[in-house]
Amino acid sequence: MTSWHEFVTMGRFGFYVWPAFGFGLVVMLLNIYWAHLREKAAHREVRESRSTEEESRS
Amino acid sequence: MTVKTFFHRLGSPPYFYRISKPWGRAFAWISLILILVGLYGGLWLAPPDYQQGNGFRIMYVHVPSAWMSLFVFMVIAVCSFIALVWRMRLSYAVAAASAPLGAAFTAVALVTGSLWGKPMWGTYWVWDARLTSELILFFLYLGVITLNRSFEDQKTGDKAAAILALVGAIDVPIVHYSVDWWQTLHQGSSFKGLTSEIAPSMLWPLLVMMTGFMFYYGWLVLWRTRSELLLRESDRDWAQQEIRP
Amino acid sequence: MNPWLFFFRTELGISWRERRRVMLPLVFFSIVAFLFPLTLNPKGHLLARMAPGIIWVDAMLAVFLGLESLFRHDHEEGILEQWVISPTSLELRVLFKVASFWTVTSLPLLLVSPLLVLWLSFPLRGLGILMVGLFLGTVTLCFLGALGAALTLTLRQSSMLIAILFLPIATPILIFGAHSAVLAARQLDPRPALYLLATLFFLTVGIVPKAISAALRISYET
Repeated sequence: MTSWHEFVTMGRFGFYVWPAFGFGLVVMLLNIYWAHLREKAAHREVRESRSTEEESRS
Repeated sequence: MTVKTFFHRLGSPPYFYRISKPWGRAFAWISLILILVGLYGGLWLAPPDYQQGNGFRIMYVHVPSAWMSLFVFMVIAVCSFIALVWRMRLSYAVAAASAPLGAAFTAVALVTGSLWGKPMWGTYWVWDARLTSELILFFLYLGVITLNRSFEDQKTGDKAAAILALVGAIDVPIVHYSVDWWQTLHQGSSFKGLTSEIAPSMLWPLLVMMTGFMFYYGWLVLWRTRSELLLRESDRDWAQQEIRP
Repeated sequence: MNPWLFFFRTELGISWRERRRVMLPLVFFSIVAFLFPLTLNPKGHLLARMAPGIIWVDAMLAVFLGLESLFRHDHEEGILEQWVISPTSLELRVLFKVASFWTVTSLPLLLVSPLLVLWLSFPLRGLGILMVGLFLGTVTLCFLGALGAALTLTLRQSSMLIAILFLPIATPILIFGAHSAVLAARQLDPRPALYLLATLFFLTVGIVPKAISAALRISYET
């Protein structure tokens, strides 16, 4: 790369290069978000199984 | 501690749950640094290709994701085999944690491959062996994920998905070969490989990106495996102690 | 009489008693093939060129149609559970079960395929190769489909899931099968395609009954 202009337009391929990297970035961030959701669901599951256990004990 | 006892202990969910957290954090930082370095090298330092101009830079996201999509499926197949033969609980959790990540890599490989195809081939989609087997791989991932989550009893879902993953692992090379064979039969359009000889200044960012993607997968798979373990063993004592109310 | 032959005959008899089930895939197969000339241009060689693809996709859909009920009845009656716990080989039982499934669902399709060839103006000289290919392919498809049915045995409304599991795995068979007919129609040597199809046939018959048995077993393990 020799200039910012060339970097942004990617020659004439900016229309293809930037969406490709953008899509990759979005999916990689979504992966992190989904892993977070799954962790929350797992913690909820553990807590719920504890409360049912206590109910059955009392 | 010998290697053998280390693996034995690693197979036990509470031990894995405890030691995977610092490893995951380390992998996250390593992957972030590697991907940033790889992007700088690939998008700024590497010279434009003499044929494809700057369009070839899509390679730096396409090739690592395509490679990861196959690698993750291999991980799932190996884990499924270990799980079915030795009934290792951790293996099921790793396979279940990997499937959505592999599907995501496959989706990225398909979309970026399409976006690369338009300027190079003049069309967003061609039925070449690599794109087609990538698409079949995506459907296989969806099948594994759906099957795993369809059963009331998680154990049944794990085993069913493991059998499907093993059959799928045999199927993917056959699909690739069949489409390749069909291509040579038609010979209508000749699609040359996307990259032939690659200069070192273009190659090193690619290798850095691929390593970065590996660590990214390593981080997320450890994280997700921890959740899968908790979901599978939510009523065990160790899980109850790890998660305070 | 050989006990396995007896088992096969009983299975056939059970399927034959439900003749409706045998006729339905056949009617479906014919109707789908009949829709193509009406929706495409029925004149010219476009139809003839598309005929192998139409017939093969059609055959795959017809096999798929019967899959959901393949093990359903035996599962609900508890017969499958008997098979799983009995000491005789479950793999062999599965093999014969799928063979009888093929006989009642796909063999009729093979027999009406000459009719489809006429409708779709596919050159008659390719008919022999088409039928050999269909024989090898439908057997393979039946085994792969049975795996999908076995994996989803205990689920309600499983047909969509079976489609997701079965169709991607079936693609190589469709590719080799349809192209063996294409080659024959163009008077080229179709043997490479048929050999590849036969390889997949033996590979599937060798491996998949084991996978089906494993899938059936997990439904009864707790």
